[in-house]
Amino acid sequence: MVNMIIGALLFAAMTYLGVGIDLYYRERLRLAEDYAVFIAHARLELKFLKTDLETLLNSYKGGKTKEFKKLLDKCAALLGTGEEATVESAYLSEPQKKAFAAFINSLAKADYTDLALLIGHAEEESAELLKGARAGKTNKGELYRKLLILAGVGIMIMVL
Amino acid sequence: MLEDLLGDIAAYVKDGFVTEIRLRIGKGIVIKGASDRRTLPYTVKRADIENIIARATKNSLYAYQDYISKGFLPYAGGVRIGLAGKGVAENGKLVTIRDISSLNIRVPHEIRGCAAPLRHITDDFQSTLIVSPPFAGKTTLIRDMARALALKYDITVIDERDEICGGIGGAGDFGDVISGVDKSLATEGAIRSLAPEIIVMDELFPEKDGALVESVVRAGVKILASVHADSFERITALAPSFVGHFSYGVLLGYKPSVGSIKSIVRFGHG
Repeated sequence: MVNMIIGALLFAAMTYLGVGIDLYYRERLRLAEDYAVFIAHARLELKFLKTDLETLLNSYKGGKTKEFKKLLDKCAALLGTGEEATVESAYLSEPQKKAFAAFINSLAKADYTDLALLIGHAEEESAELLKGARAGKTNKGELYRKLLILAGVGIMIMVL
Repeated sequence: MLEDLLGDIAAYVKDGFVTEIRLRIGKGIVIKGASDRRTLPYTVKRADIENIIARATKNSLYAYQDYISKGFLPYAGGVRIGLAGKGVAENGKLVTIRDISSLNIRVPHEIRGCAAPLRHITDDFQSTLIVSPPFAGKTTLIRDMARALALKYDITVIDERDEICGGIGGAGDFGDVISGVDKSLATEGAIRSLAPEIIVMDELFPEKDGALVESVVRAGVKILASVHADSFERITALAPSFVGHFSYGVLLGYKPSVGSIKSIVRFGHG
């Protein structure tokens, strides 16, 4: 009986870990998708409607993740106080965080002629981020989930 | 309002009547009052200029490109920030200014009643040209005249640079206001759709705006406008057909104080 409980607990723990890792990569992909959609939205708003950056960041409602909205709100708040935007996220690597912050800070200083170039560069970076996030979800998230669930089943059998 | 724009250096700009603040990288801040000019003990840094531009443009330089290509940035309350730096031209037109090295922040002031000496003109209005050298109070006078005219006539203010009505006065104080658009673009629409009796415009340039004035007069609409010049003789000699569209001329000067009416003439046309 004790063995069964221990086995079930170990299986649950391994499954929880596997699903957690998978969720992390899924969320990372959603964040990358949000970023790509935001850049497309920014192209329209900034180039054609000349919406100011703080309004764009504060009013954007297109994100699927709360994390992305949080990032934008923080950037808008920092810009509003005259500081440079910074990005903190558990789902992004250091270079990705720097690239995101650099995009926002460059937008704040870009004149109209530089805008297209800047957005084009951000689209390229975003495409790379999206590619990496998709690969991460398939190659790591789903793989770890399956492996850890299988390992959990194996451990449970061994304990029993 | 000015504190928000100036940020940390606002502390150096003491209270008092300020009409102009000049910031040049590496130089002291220069403050102009109604009749005095003083240099403050603060050396302007590039970061000061960049921060003011960031605040004025709400961190969105690209959104103000049209203004920058005209050499200024608008700010809340009718404040206008003149820019100097490296001009970038394309097809013979200034498209932007880079490496901005100095700013001239002009603070508008409303002096209610300053148009009272011109009551005989505003009561039975005929096209009037305010002739004034820069910084002699022509916008202040036009603003007060527009307010007086709006009580009696249907007027449209073409406030290209948001200086006449921007942030000053309540809605309707100046009749109909079209702001932030080039005069030539705004005037045609105004005549067609707003049917004004009087159109008010600031800072005309006879070489550029002569045809515009002619089209307004041809439509039977009267004009209150201003032009940069230091005497009637000079403006009449340089642009006789332009002056010919106006009935009255009001010459402003700096002495005894800014905004002093030096003379009023009847051109005998208009």
